Amino acid sequence: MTNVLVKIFAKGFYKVNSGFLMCLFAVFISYCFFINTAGDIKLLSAEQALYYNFIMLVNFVKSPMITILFFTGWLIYTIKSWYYVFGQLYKVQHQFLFYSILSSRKTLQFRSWFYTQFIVSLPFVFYALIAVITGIVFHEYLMALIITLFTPLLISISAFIYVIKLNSLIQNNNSWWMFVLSRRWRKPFFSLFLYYVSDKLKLTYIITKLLSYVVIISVMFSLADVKQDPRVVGLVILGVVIAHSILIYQQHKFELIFLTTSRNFPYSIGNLYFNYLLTYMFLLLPEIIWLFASFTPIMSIGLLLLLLSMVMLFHCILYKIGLAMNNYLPWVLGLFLITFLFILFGLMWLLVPIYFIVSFVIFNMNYYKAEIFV
Amino acid sequence: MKICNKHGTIPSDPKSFLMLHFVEFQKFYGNFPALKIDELVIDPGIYWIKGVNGSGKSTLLKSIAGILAFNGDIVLNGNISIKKQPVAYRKLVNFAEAEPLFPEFLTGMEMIELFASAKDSPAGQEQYFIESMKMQSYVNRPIGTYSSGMLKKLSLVLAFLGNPKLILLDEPLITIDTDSLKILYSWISKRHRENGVSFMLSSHQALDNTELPHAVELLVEEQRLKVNQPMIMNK
Repeated sequence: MTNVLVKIFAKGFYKVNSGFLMCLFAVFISYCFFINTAGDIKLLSAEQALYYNFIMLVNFVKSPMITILFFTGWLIYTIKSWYYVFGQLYKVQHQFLFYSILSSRKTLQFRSWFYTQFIVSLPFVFYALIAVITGIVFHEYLMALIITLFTPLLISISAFIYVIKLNSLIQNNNSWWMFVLSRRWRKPFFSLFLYYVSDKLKLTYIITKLLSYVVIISVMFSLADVKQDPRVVGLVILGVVIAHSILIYQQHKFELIFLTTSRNFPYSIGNLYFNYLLTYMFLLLPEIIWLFASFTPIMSIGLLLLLLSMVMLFHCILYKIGLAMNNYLPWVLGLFLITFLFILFGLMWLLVPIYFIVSFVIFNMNYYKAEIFV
Repeated sequence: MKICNKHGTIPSDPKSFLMLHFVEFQKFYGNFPALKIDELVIDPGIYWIKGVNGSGKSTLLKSIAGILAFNGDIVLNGNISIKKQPVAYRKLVNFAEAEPLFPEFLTGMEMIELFASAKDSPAGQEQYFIESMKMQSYVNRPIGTYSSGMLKKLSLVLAFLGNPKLILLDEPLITIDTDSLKILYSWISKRHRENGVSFMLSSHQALDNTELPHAVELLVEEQRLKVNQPMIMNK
C-alpha cells in the first residue's frame, strides 16, 4: 500500500511542483551570484562573504523570526501537498483507492500516509536536519527540540487528514461560488484558463503570486541603491516569469486535456497567439499594475512588453517539447540563464523583439503538431 | 483509389463533386505507423467507419478534424486544404469526441456559446438541438454535474453548430439512450437532406439501416482505410 501511495502522490507531487523547486533554485543561484560578485568587486572580502553565509545559516536556528518564517514556508508547502493529494484522490484512475485501501486497518493506513508525506516533505526535512545539527553545535537546544518536534507533528497531522479524507468517501466539491458569481459573464476563449485557475488552481495561483512578490520585494530592496538601473527591473521581470512557469505549464496541460476540440475552431494562428497573450495579461495583472505604479509610462510599456515576450516564449516552447516536466525544466533553466546574461550585459530591450518573434515562429510551427491524448 | 458516386462513375469535374481528398496521408505515433492513406477521394455522403479497438478510427477522425498533426494533406471540396487554408477548412468541418472532456466550471450553454461564436453559428441555431434532445433542464448547469450521457449529448449538439460541410462523429452511438439515438439519426438525415452535409461516423455497432439507408461502410484495418461497399472501385 505504501509503495502505491508514494508512487501516486509523492512522485506525482514532485513532478507537478518541480517548477517551484526550480524557481527556488534560480533564486538561490541569483543569491550566490550576487554574493560572489560582491566579493569579486571587493565590496566584500572573502572572509566577509564566508561570514555572511555563516550568519545566514546560524540565524536559521538562532533567530526565532527566521525559524517562524521557515515553519510558515513548510506549512504552506504542506497545505499545497494536501490540495494535490485531495485533487488526485478524486481522479477517476485513482478511485480504486476507495475500495482497496479502505479495507485495511486505520493504523496501517496512517502509517502508509505518514511515510508518503515524509517523502513529500523531504526538502524541508533535510533542511530541518541541518538546522537541528547546527542548533546542537551552537547549544541552541530549545530551537533544535522545537524543530525536531515540529517535523513529525506536521507530517502526522497531514497523514491524519488524508486518512479522514479517504474514509469520508467522495463528495462533490465544485466551486459553486464561482459559478454563481460568473454565470452572467461571457466567457471568451482567452478567459477559460483564468476560470480554470479560480476553480482548480487557487493554491497554485496564490503561491505563484507570493513567490512573485517575494522576488519583486527582495530584488528591489536588496538593490535599492541602483534601482534606477533598468537591469534591476529586468531581473525582477525574469524572476516573475520563472515564478509563473508552473502556471504556464498548467495552461498548456489544461488546453491539451479540456480544449482538444478547440483545435477544430477556425481561428488563425495570429488570433490564437493574441488570445494567449490576453490570457497572460490578465493572469499577470497584479504585476502589470505594479509596473505602471512604479515606473514612467514609457518604461512601464517597455517592461510590460518584456514580461509578455518572456511569458509567450515559455508558453510556446511547450508546444515544441510537450508536457513532460523533465523536458520543460531544463528549458526553463536554460532560458533563465540566457535571459539573465542578456539583462546583465544591458541587452534587455533586444530580448523583446527576439522573444516575440521566436515564440511566434515556434507557435506557428508547432501549434497543430503538439501531441494530445488520443 | 477512388470512391465514386452512387452510379459508379467518376464525375468529369472532380472538384465540383468530391468531398475529401487524402494526399499521401501518414500518421505516426513516435516511430509507430498508426494510419496510412496514399491517395483516396471520398465523395459526399454518410459514412460508417468500422474497425476493431485501436485500429485508428479516432486517429482518422481527429486528423480529418484538424486536431491531430499528420504528414501529407487533406483537401476538402477540391480546393480547401487543411494545411494551406486551416481557418476556412475548420469552418467547414465539425467534430464530436467519443468521450468528451470539457472544463467542469462551464455550463453546457456557455460551451454552446463558445462553439457557436467560433463556428459563426446563426443566432438561435442551438435551440432546436437543445429542445429536441430535451436538454433544457440541465443545459444551464455546470458541466461538472453532468453524467456521461448528458456530456455526450452536449458534444453532439456542438458538432452540429455553424454551417459545416462535413460532420465527424466519433462513436456517437455509445453512452446515449435509444430515444436520443433516434433523435440523432433524425438530425443526421435532415442535415444531409436539406443542407447536403456529409457525415463520417465511427462505431463498433452497425448503424440503423432504416434510419440511414445510404450509409457507406469504410473499414480501418492494418493501418489502412479500406472500403466495404460494391459501389466503390479501385483505380
